[in-house]
Amino acid sequence: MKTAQNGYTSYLAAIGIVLFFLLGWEAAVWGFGLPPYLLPAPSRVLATLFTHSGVYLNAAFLTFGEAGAGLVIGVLAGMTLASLLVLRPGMEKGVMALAILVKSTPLVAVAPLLTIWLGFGILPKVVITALVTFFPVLVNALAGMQHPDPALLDLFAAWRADRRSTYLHLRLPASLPYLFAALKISAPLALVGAVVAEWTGAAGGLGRMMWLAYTNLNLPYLFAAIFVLAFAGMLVYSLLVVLERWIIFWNRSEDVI
Amino acid sequence: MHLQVEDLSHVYLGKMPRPALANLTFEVPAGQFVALVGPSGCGKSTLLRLAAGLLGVQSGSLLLDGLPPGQNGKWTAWMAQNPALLPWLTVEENLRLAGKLTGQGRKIPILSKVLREALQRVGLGDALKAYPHQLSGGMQQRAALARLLIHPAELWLMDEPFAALDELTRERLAEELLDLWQPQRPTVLWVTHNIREALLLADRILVLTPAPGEIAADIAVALPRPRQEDDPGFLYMVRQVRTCLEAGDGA
Repeated sequence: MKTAQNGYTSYLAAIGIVLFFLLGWEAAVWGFGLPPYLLPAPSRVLATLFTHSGVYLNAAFLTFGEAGAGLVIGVLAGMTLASLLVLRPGMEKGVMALAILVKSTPLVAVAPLLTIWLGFGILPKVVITALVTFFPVLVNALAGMQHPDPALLDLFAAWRADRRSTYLHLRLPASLPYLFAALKISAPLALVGAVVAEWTGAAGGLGRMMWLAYTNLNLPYLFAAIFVLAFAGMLVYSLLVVLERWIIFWNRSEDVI
Repeated sequence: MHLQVEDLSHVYLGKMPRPALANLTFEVPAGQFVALVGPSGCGKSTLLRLAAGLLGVQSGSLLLDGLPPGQNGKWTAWMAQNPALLPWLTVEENLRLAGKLTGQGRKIPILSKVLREALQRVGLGDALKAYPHQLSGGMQQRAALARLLIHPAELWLMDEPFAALDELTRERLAEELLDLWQPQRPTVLWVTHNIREALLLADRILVLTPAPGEIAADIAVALPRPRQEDDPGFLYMVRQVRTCLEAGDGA
């Protein structure tokens, strides 16, 4: 009960801090008389958002669809490659070198190229998103698969379990907590990937709207898109936390009988 | 299972090589309960890991029924301080998985009856559907004990399995372990640093010197079971084993 109450109050505290920040922002804009093309007040941003809610909703659907598809592909690819490296050790160094190369190439450098090659449709966005989400998943899943509880590894070794059974019954489930740690990084990154890809040329989406608003110095429009993205990022993160508690039930220590 | 150790040495390699065992030679006839006693770091666990095939033999030989570990096709039961239950499986699923993976390729699923009997014998009849994190430390070790019973193993390798438990639970589990051991009488290698525990359980005590471990004393425990800790014969043997440990320690 105590922990539940603490969780509740910490949520309230978080909401309070955000409200306080927004109110301070609002007061600053009115107090200093800042023009909306420099910094629009949150009330104005929200008004923009609600007047054009249909437009934002459509754009958000497109961007989140791209981000979601890219994330799914990135996660599947990361998990598959991590599994292969565990089942067929020996290629790890080479593959990881390649993965680090992909990871350290800046996203903004690749995005325009992919847009040139693949066009203004959703494909380059999905590819970019998959590329940025892939690496955290690969590294974390690999760490989880390579380092289960040593006592369990001993047990499987003493049983003479083969590589496949050890992977299936031990390494894979043991990597799930690591996978969630990766998802908490990758899911927000997926949104960044989709938006940045849209900046380099797109037919629609939140990134496209931001880019248009930016070139017109229409800051209320720009901020409305930022609000949607921030809210979506938070929502995805919270969903992941709930999902994690549900799937990795054995890591919870508070409900011991 | 007959265990034969000859001139066995082991060194942990690395920047600072650390010798763990030196020229160990002894034999354990099938069905004997042997306790390995010695100071921390004397190589007791190393010896156990070699017998389980978790470590490769570097020099000398260690044979189980005449064959190196892992080559005789028989499964040895392994149990350590950590109950090593898979946390995402229920007690029942843990036992079934153990049955499947230790069944030496026999694809016959464990009968529910066998499973329930094993759990009942360790007093966990009601915990079939419980997850490990819902059980106390003692109950988790009981589940690990039940796991030894689903396939009769001829060798039990046990590395201080009850060391992390409170004293009462430890004594109760030690008694129950004897009850489980007596009908099948597998060979047991039991690592402990607790002299009383060794004397309560074992037929024979091997005292090792500090690292690199050599055999300091080989003591037969001829006391009848069940043994009483306040029995004069028991107390005499406690002193005897302690003296051997101290002599080996160079104190």
